[in-house]
Amino acid sequence: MIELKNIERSYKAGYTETWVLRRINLTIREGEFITVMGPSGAGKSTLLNVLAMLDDQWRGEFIFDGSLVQTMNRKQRAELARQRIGMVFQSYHLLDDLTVAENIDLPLSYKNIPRAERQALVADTLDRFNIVGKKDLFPSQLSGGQQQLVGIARAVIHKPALLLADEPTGNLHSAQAKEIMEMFRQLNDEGTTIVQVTHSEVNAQYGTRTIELRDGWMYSDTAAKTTGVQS
Amino acid sequence: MNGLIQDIQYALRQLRKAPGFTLTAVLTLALGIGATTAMYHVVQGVLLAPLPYPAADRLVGVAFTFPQEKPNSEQAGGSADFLKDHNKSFVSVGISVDGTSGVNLATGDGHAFQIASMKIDRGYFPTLGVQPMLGRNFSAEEDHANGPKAVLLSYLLWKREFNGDKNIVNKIVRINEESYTVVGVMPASLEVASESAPGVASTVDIWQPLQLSVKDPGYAGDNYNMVARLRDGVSITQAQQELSTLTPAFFKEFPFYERWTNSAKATRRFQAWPLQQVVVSGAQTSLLTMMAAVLAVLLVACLNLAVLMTARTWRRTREMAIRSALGASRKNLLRLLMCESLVLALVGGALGLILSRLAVPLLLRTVPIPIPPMQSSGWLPAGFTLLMACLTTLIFGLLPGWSVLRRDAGYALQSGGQVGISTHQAKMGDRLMIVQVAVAMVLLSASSLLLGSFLKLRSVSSGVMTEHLTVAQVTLKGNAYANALHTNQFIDKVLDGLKQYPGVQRIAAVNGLPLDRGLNFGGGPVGHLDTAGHMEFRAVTPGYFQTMGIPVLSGRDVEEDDNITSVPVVLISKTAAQKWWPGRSAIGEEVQLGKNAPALRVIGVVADTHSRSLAESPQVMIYVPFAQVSDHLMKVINGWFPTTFAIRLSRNVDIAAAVQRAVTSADPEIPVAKLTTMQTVIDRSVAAPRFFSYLAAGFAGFSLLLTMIGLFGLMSYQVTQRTREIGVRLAVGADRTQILLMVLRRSMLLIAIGLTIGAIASLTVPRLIGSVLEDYVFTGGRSISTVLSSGTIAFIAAASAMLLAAFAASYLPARRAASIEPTEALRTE
Repeated sequence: MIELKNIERSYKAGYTETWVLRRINLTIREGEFITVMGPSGAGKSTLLNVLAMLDDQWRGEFIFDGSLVQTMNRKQRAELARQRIGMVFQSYHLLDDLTVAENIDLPLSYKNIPRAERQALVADTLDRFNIVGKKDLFPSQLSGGQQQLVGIARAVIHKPALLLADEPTGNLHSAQAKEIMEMFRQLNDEGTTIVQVTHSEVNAQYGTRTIELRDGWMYSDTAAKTTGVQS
Repeated sequence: MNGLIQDIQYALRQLRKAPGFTLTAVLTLALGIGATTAMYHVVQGVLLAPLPYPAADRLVGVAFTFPQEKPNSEQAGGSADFLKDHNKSFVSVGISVDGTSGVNLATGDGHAFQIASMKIDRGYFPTLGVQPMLGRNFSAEEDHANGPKAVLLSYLLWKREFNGDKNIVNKIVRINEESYTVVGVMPASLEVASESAPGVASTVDIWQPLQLSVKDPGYAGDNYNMVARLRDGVSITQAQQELSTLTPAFFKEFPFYERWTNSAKATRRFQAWPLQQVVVSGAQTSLLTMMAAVLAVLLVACLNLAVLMTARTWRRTREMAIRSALGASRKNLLRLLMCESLVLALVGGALGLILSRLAVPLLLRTVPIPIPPMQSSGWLPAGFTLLMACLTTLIFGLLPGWSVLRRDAGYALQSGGQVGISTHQAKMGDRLMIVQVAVAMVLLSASSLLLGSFLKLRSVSSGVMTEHLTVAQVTLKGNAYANALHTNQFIDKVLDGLKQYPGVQRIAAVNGLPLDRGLNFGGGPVGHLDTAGHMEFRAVTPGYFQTMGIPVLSGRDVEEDDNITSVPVVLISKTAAQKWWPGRSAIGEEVQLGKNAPALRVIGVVADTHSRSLAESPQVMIYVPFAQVSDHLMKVINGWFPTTFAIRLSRNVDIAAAVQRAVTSADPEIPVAKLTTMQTVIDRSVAAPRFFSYLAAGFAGFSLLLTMIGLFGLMSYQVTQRTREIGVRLAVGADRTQILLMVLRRSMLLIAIGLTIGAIASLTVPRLIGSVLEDYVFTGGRSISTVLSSGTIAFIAAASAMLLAAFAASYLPARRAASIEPTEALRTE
């Protein structure tokens, strides 16, 4: 599904160039549930942003379902991401002034989908996530777990092939975290490819494969059964 | 006190750190407060200050006027005489001619120049309570018809032309080629302004005795003004009661005046108003409207600053929370916030005061409306500025400050300074913006309507060809020119002197140029006279129509042979021909200028011109050869109106010296009173609408600029505050065009609401503009609404300008929003 070859990313600050991703080579197959781990500053979130196509300042080769992402312009990348990728954030990033239903509807509102169809999709998603009763509430009226549930519902409403989650349970207590991770497992079982970034070993257990980054380098990959910095 | 000083020091430091904001705020306030103070200065000095006469509250203006008219003191000669004889309410009464007129003053060296004269009766100055500083008032004999020729000098003329000669009294001066005895000099405090021509204010240089007599040509018309001093113990209401009883008595004695009716068929009546109201009534509507306009500009300025301050104060939410957590009370915080706006308002106010000092003389110099003399108002403008500064502080300081104080300090601190806009705060900024747009929209509508009306008026054809057309005016008053022969000799000499001058193509003379004043009276076709009708009379020399570019539609032009010995002839305007002989030729028909006047044969019909104003419909006009004007008529027209030479040049040449030479050689004591182009005459006739439209355009432009600054500030800040939200939207699939449109949509929504409110408020604008313009645009009885341009088009133009400005102001913040990098925006994680 995804193939990254020699992906590199750096930030320039004055005369200094800080490397956050170094020669990342990674192949993600459909249906995988990958956990990205590593200490703070290892480049986990940057890698996720590259995969989400939110970042386009990297170098290397990025193939998504056979399409060469590096040859696409900004608009094409955004369109591809809009169709195929969903994103879940650590701090949910729900819009305060929108209700639960409106937040879930947000990705659909940026596509040319008729209103009735959108309403049906939102109703289905609310039902699927068991939050029908909360549809008219605002984010501030929900618990953290409930907010993240809405965040996931928003990320999957357009049935993305790839779901990216950046520390999805980082702000939740363990019971809520478990509930969220069960939801991810269920989505993965239904066929969604998932890449999550986490510090939690427990959460990592839900995945089918774990890769570890250190100082921007791919340190280990359980699929390749390698440990140590690749060069 | 220490706390306050500390707060002010802190405010100064904060302002120094934001020079862009500080400069914008100070300049905005300086212009807003400066314009308001300047306008208040004029309004206070003109409308509110008492008249400079002793016991001025006992003075009234007494008019013989139609109901519903504005306060005035118009009188006909007959009505003035009647009131003078029959009233019991007034201790004294003064009569003057309506407006000043130009007279020629000759100095000892044979040099002559034109000055402004006002004719008054001997009761005029005693009624006002003013005494000459040298000499005496006119005697009864001098004020009697054919009495001794006497003159009172103004202080300025006495100083300027007679070097302040203390022995001037009883000396002889040459006025209109006649000898006048100087009987006195009026004090410097008496600065009298009056209308010398519609819309032109002038200062009076000399006063001459009125010598009111039934034999005066203007006696029957409403050509006079009356002032009166109430008798002790008589109120103005009691005086009015008496005047009401005198009206029927007057009509009984003079039934002729009962036939004077207006368009509503109402008859005139005697009416008294406080003199203060009469003096200011001509300028009152304009001044108050201008005052309202500058207040609206000030309001826009304050709202604009409130919007900017709101955005600025939001940035300080965390600072306020920390201060609050450390023990600052709401009062302390409010004082801190108010200090900043107070510092800005005081600096802006001080600059505004300086600006207003410069603006008042400029305003008085450029305003083309007759503004009554201003009374000195001393410290009042400074006090007003201080009041404005305090008021503006309240408006743009308190509103944003209050929204911050309502916030929960704990929440602000917890959020680590990354707080977004609360719904309340967003609404506050939005509401301020909406009100600002609404007020600016009203100003824009007014400006658009005025500009449209001015252009509409300007596009009306005057009926003459103005290219290379110069006009020179002379005043031919006094006994020397009270006969036709001398007048025609003078005119012929000037024409002959200029005819051969290089560059002069054609030249002719007329008494009563288009768009200037001229004689009018009743008359009409023989057998169908309308003595109460209105017919414009012009005396012309041969070649007048060709010189002016007025086509002769049928018949022939005036010729040299049309003289006193030949058949009396007349040319009439197209309107006259159509009115008197509809559907058939007027050539050969006869008209009469009154019952006993000789019949004049119509020899030609000429195209219409505008006699007094571009706004009036073409009038019934008759043109008579100068050479056939009787002595009596010549005395009348020379007594009231200047004679004009129209000179068509073949190219641009400076003809001033040649005109002066030709006039001087014809009569050394006749000065050239005015030398200008016909285009200037036309431009002057629309000077008031042009002034108001430019002024309103200035106000509206300033408001629009402020609105753009405010909207730009608000949108920029809202984009900053919504960075995270925009990042999320981009992350969940929004493309950059959608983000751009989202910001623009929000801005346009605010504008749309503001426009709607402004549009509703603008419904009153046409009426208001109409009431301002009707004071200065002579419509000849037509409704002022015919002068105004389309209100709908004006509104569409204003709304388009606002939308365009709003789009321009919002586009940059929207572009910035659209270029937000989601990875950066979401890094707060």
